[in-house]
Amino acid sequence: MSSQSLVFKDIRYTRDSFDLYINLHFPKAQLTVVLGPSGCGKTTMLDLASGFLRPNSGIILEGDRDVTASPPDKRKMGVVFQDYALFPHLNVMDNVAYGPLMRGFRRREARSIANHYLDIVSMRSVASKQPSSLSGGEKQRVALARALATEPDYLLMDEPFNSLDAAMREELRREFTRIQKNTGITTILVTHDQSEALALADNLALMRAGRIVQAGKSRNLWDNPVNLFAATFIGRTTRLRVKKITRRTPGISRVETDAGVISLEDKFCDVDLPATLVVRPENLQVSEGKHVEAEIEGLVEETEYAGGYWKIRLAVGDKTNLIDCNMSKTTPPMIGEKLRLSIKPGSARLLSGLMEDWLRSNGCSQDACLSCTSLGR
Amino acid sequence: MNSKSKWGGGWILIGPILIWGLAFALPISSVLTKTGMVPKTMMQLISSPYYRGIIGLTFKQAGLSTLFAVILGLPGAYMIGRLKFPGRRLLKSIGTIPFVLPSILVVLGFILVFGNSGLVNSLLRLIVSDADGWKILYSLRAIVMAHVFYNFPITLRVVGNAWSSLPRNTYLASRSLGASPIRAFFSVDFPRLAPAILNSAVITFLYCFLSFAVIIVLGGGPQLSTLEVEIFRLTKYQFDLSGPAALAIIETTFTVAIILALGWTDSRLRRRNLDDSPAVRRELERISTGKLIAISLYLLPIFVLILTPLLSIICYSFLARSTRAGTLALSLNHWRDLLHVNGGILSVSMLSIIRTMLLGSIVAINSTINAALVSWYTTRKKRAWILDALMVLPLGVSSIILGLGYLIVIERIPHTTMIRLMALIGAHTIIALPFAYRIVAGGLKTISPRVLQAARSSGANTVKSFLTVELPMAKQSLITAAVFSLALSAGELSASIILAPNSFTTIPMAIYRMIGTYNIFAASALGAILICIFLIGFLAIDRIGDSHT
Repeated sequence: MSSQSLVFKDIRYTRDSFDLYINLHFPKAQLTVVLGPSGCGKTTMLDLASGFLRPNSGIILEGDRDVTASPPDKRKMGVVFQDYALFPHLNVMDNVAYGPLMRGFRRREARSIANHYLDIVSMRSVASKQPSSLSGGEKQRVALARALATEPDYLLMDEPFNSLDAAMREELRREFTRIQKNTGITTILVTHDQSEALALADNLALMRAGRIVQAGKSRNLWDNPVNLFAATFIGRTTRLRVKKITRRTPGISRVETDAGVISLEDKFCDVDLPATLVVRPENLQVSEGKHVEAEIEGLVEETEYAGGYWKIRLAVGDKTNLIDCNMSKTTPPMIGEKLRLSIKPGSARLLSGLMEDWLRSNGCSQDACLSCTSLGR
Repeated sequence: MNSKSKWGGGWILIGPILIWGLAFALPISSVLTKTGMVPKTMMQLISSPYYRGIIGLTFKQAGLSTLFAVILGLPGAYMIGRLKFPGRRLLKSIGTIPFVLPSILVVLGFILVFGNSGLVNSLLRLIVSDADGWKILYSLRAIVMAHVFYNFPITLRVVGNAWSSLPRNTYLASRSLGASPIRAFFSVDFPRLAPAILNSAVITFLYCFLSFAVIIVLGGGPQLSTLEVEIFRLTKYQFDLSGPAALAIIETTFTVAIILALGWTDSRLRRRNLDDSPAVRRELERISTGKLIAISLYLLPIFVLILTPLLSIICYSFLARSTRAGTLALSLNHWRDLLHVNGGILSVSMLSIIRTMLLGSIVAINSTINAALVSWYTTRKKRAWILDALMVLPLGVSSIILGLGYLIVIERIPHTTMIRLMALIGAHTIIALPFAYRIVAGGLKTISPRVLQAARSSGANTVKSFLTVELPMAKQSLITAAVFSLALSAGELSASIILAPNSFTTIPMAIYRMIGTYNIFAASALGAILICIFLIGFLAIDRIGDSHT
């Protein structure tokens, strides 16, 4: 396999009211995860990459080679589908040998290639079975072996672990990461599951309504979201409405929120009102003793045991400002108790816009905005 | 599970089983016993060159008809299954028309369009005044053409549906693995379409194999006869019924063998395609203008082919010839004759309409009630497959043979009008029952058992939950079944011709006789009425919106 990078350059694809426009670089030999809510165009993007769809404009480059007009059978893409798409009338061996056969190998050679890849996914023992007799996890392994058997330059995966139960998902993910690293194949995986995205990605691209919202290393997307969508779709966040921003000492700004006043470095305060302050739960700590700056205060409204720590929801000001924080104590605070939380220095971010405006403008529909469950209800 | 739930409610089967036994099992077994189980007559028949010729022709016409019907149906199936174009829905619904039409209307329409002085020849003579005309009636070609017209919608619908439910991703997987579009189609999609193609071919073959009206009219006589027609002739014109009974057994042996072979191959093919993963369906492909033109090259002739015979029937009912060879002129004569009341006596045509509707209504009520009772039982019980099979069994026996069976049963008793009528009602009920059962059982199956549990836990007993929940929810399919049964009875010709008492004429019988006496225009008027009955019936079903048909 001679993996190269894959580049989407000004790719535009329009159908009915859906408009997709992407500029993205998928680095060589790395695993790039495209994360986004359902209906955001992830699968369309994969279909464009594999040649099942032709873009209205723009070019797709495999390394330096322009493949925009190539049909799927002339591109070197291995595809793993969410519904596996195994050929039901062929047994496992013939499913995996199908690709090599189509690429011109003789039956015997194709089968020996298939055997090799069945070994890699530890499925050699079921080679003579029909797909219908396999479990979900087994089908997924066979689908992976089938995609790899053509020795493609790229591997495209559409929500590959979605239909598996939690334990099987973990195991397959680990195994898949190992195989991907060993083969060094440039891989694009699309998913709507943020924990899967964070667990797998070398690079992460966040997608919404046909556009890439933010792309880069996972850590960077986690720490420095570019907007409210990026902040809320990945991980849980606390969002506080900002009332006022005033500059105090050089380099430091004073940010007034419903829950108190927080000091922030100027470089994070380059936004106009209305704005929202976002903090990740792990950056909030219960503070005891004297009141200091960069603290927020509220009444405990709900506690939930999350195994090893407590998730606390604080009511601050009006009800819209519920605060999520994780508390690793043996006993949770009482409901109604007043609690003060300090923000880890340098961890809070100011983002323009308000969540409720943002939701309203998106009609809060599943496909247009992030799914409601990821908003913490 | 206690014994109560195993047998509980079994009493409601008493009625249906009694009717099934009397109206189906008894006549069919009497056909079997008539030959005395001695294969002597059968061997004689098979060894005679005349009957071997008939068997050969039966297979030949059915084989040719099937071949061309499938060939004609496949492009349409592809369009329905894969393409998005204006007229797709129209093709789907217009495509059903020939299939649900009574065969006698197909025959009448065929004569009007392709007959010696029919539409095609009239147009031909307009262009070339001294043209001899295209003589196609009374030939194998006519039979095959009518059968193809009548049956290609089976392929259109069955294969079209299979095509539209093909999974998206297996095809894409095969393309990404290096297969060209054609190779991907044959290695991945075709195996999934194969059962549908096989099924529609075999169903078409069986319909043509057992076809009656088309062959007896368009074949034009003993030189073009099939098993079904021969059984009819022997039954109608021979005193001894053991001859037709022997032929009936030969015919049924063939049909049962074909059905069994289909069942075996079909289950093998389907097992190969077993796929329980939740597959994404493929989207319909939008087409370019060029392709649209190519499509209309298929669609236009199809629409013309389907609609012309029907429109001809309606148009001809408003025409008349002054003399046998006179010119055509607009005329309401046939409608006037139809509606004319002479001294309090209705015209034969009017009587046939009333009788057809009466008979059809009785048959509709009969078969729907029986279907409902059996469905109620089978949807509740796990091992009801035997009842399922019994209900569908009459499909495997031709109407002529059923009629023959009744004749054998009532051979010993004086043929009173009443007994003949009872036999006719019985035969029509049995002919409609498999369809009514499928529709009602299909409807009842969609009612979730949870809904019934909810009714029961809210305090309704079995009877109340049936009356307040099940019945209203099953109403659609019950009405559909009733209308369908009525339509089947109204279009039925072969059993009626054998069983109806002399004074009792149904619409198809009247049309059949009018064609026989070259009274094409009067036949058209009555045909137009029959078209209206069918149109109203199927519009009603469509309005109710039951999808189980």
